[in-house]
Amino acid sequence: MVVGFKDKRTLNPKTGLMQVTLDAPENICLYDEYFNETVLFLAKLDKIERTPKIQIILEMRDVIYISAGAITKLFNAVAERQLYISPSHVVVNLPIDKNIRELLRTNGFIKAVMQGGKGKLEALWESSNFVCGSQRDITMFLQKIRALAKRETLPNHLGVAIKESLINVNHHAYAASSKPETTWWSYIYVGTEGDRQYLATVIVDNGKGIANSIRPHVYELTKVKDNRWVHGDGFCIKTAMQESVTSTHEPGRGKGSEDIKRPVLVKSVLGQHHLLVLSGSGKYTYEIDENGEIQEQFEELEHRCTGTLIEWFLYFEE
Amino acid sequence: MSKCTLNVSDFTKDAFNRFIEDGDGSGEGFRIEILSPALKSYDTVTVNLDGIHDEYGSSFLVEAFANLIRKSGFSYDELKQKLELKSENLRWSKEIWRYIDEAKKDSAGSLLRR
Repeated sequence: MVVGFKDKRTLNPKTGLMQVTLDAPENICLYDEYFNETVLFLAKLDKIERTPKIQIILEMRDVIYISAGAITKLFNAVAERQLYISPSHVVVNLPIDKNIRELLRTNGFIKAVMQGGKGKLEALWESSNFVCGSQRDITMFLQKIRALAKRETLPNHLGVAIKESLINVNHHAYAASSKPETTWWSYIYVGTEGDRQYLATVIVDNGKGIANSIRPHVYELTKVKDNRWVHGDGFCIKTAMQESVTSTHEPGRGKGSEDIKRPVLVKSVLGQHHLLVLSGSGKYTYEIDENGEIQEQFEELEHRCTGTLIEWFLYFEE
Repeated sequence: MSKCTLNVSDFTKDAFNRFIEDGDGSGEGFRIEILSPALKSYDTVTVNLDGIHDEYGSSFLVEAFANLIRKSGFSYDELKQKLELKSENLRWSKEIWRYIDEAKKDSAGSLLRR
């Protein structure tokens, strides 16, 4: 399917709004071969003008698969525009495929992207796997994950990883003068693979991105050649994920990156735990391979997304 | 010898915020309002780390304990002498002392630069 919107603009005579239709790819996925197409799709959605004079029709009728990371970005992109521009700024046409439609109903996505604003988002805390909030909502967020996972304590040190990630969002993602009321967006999914149970937790923000936070503060990253940064966003994310690397220059800061990686380091007999970070045009992954070796990789991407996404994919070991 | 015991869980069950401005139960709040006054008033202060939800965030621990040296004027030797950490989770107290050790090194570096 061709992804694009340039020739799909029509004036709605009833509402007076310019309708912009954006076709979603069949597989909206931030892994494997669908990655570039999905990032391009999200980038195109991001570039549509943010004005109440436009109504976006997000055409998902042909979608047959959505990954956890991608659906969180989509929730963020749609609901954030509805919150800050207009409750009806984005209209989502749902997939025809019965299986994916049922998944979107049970995980709360349909409620999460239906037309609405603040009241809709507050109601999601009761009825959906999609929630958003600010620093003051972290405790409630952890309670929500414990409830969905049906556990008193979160597995694999995930609780501390989430706390530190959301503190980073609060301290670093946004300029103090432009910090929105809602700073993070999340999706929590408890799934099964045969008799194995797993927990996928995704957090997204719309901030300046890890690379933009860290690059000006680390000497090796400030070198410029031919008016371009020598190091791309992927390299910057990898650097930021090392202990004590911090944009603040304050001793004792930058410890959270170890907390963020820690859930993946828990020994697993069921499968590979996995951490994914996407920020700007950088991708970073962290996992333990079958031989017990740490695999830390970064990639420079062709397309850029706003903000940062962090995803933990963890098997329940007990 | 005067002694007191502090339960972090009496201060907060969700120990993750770094600064007071981050919200309730911050490491900075625990240091300024609870731990630092206790260390000034008693010969030995035992901090019971158990009873919180999930685990401690490093931001809370650095701000509450290591920054007793960086920001509250305590010396490493004073903390070694007065501060006792109690928990069923040995990793927490190890982690706190590692952060305090780092603060000691930072503090030594700042003295050399003077």
